[in-house]
Amino acid sequence: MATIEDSHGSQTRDRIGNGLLSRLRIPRNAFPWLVLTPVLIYYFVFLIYPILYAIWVSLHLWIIEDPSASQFVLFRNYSDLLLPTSRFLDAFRNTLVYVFVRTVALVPLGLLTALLLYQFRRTQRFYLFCVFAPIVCPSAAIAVLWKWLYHPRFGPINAQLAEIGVPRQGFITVADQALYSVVAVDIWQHIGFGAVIFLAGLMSIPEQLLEAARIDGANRWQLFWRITLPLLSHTTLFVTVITLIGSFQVFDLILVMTSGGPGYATYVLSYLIYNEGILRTDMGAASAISLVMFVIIMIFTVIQFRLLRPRWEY
Amino acid sequence: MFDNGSAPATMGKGKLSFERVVLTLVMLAVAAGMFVPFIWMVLSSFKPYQEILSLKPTLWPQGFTVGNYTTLTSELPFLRYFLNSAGVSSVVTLVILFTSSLCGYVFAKFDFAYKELFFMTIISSMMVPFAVVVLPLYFLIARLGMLDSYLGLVIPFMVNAFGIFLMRQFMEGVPGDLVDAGRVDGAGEMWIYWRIMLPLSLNALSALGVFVFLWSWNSLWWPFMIISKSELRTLPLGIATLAWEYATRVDLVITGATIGVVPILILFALMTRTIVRGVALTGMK
Repeated sequence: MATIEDSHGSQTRDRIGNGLLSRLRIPRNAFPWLVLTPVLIYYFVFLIYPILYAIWVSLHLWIIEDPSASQFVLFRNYSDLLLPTSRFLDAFRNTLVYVFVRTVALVPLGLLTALLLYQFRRTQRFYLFCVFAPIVCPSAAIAVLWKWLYHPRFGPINAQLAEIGVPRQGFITVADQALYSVVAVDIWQHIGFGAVIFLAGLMSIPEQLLEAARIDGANRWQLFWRITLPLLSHTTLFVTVITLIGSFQVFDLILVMTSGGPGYATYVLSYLIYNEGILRTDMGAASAISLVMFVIIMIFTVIQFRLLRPRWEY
Repeated sequence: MFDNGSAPATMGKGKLSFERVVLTLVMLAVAAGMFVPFIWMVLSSFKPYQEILSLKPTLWPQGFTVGNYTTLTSELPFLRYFLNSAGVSSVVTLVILFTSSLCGYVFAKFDFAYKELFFMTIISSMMVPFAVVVLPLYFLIARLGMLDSYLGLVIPFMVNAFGIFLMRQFMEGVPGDLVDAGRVDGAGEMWIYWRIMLPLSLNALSALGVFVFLWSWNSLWWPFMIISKSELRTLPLGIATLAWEYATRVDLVITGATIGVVPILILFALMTRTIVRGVALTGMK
């Protein structure tokens, strides 16, 4: 950073030198536009246009082979989602269950893990590594791994259950367990995320505050409920909303572990979008589902924006 | 964050109480619950088929073999998948770091008409879930003739709204005097960006870079949509393909998953703090 420290006049000018960067003379007023024009064009092409296209398609009986022959049907694709032949309501219910279970489990588990990690100093990095490891791994690999751990016949989990006299479970192969088995893997994979954010929150609580309460005779239970938790309320809200939004978007685990099955037991909205749009080439229905999902997620994202950047320090 | 120095003072040094032992045991149990599946997976990749399928599972391989690896790589080009993933993720990361920091600089240190409007336009795209745009994007990429190409894997992910947001936040903290001094001395804007703003933003850049790289490396949905040629598959897509096409060959499937997991875990072990900080800071996964 020597260039900056002695930035009086000629010295710096010498260092700016005659490289390509300094020969590239861009007038100051033009610079923002030079940068932003391509970015905005890019945004239009790869984001705004696809959304508008999805809205447009969702209002038509879309014919992929010949889009110009598609018939305008206003909201029929949306109302058709409620027909008994549509899988939308199944997927919607599954998604709600998935989001609910995942969020309700991940937030307290994250907090508990953080409280635990907080107790360790020299060994914290090691524990952090273990707890966070599943998050950095590809979901495809996690899915494959657990598919095997869950295996009804040869899987180690069933072998362990057999040891303690519990009958073998079908897990992802039976309809009434499949969704919960997948969400359990998702929870296992992502505990570390909430834990790390809560840990940062815990570390930002001034020690004097806890010390003062301790001197006043507060026991640990009181310390946690009266001081630590209220101070973490913002962090908790942040973790909750982020977890909610993430839960809506599950795809990889479902695709690799169950492909929506058995039957339709693990169809979630994102998987239904893929299934309707690509496998059944019903673009109208797929777009309508996407937009319903968009609206739901947007509501939570607006909340998240209100909270954006909790007061944990970087 | 997560510096050893900032750890709480609550724990006494060398105090071995009953409570301490219990806490350590619980922590070890949690850590084992998170990590043992990986150990089991890596060890299983060295077991012969019959041993994996035995009804009494072993932890340590009894008939140690590297046969799974040689069979797997002769069935599917896993090295190629690995290199594909490495290449695509590196390019995506570099491009996003460049566009995010450049836009961040513009939004942080320039005043121009409609600045906040443009900023909000870009930022609001953070609200759009990938599931909403994935189909239109698929047809767009198809029409551009980029299905089954590296370009198709990279081009939809060259600008990242969160990256721009993060870099703007960070660069607003860089003293304006430094920029002004450069300008007074006749430095061009690109020079100031490259020589002043970037070196001062290394923290934010590394956090963003880690997040983008992991996210790109792990992503399955988009490659799954647009790649059908075997030699263009990314690692996650290769693993998923393995799970579908070789569903009964669990030895190969487990070995493929091991190849997908071990390099990233080694990377994670080497830079635990940077990676944890990157994912936590960006707050999304």
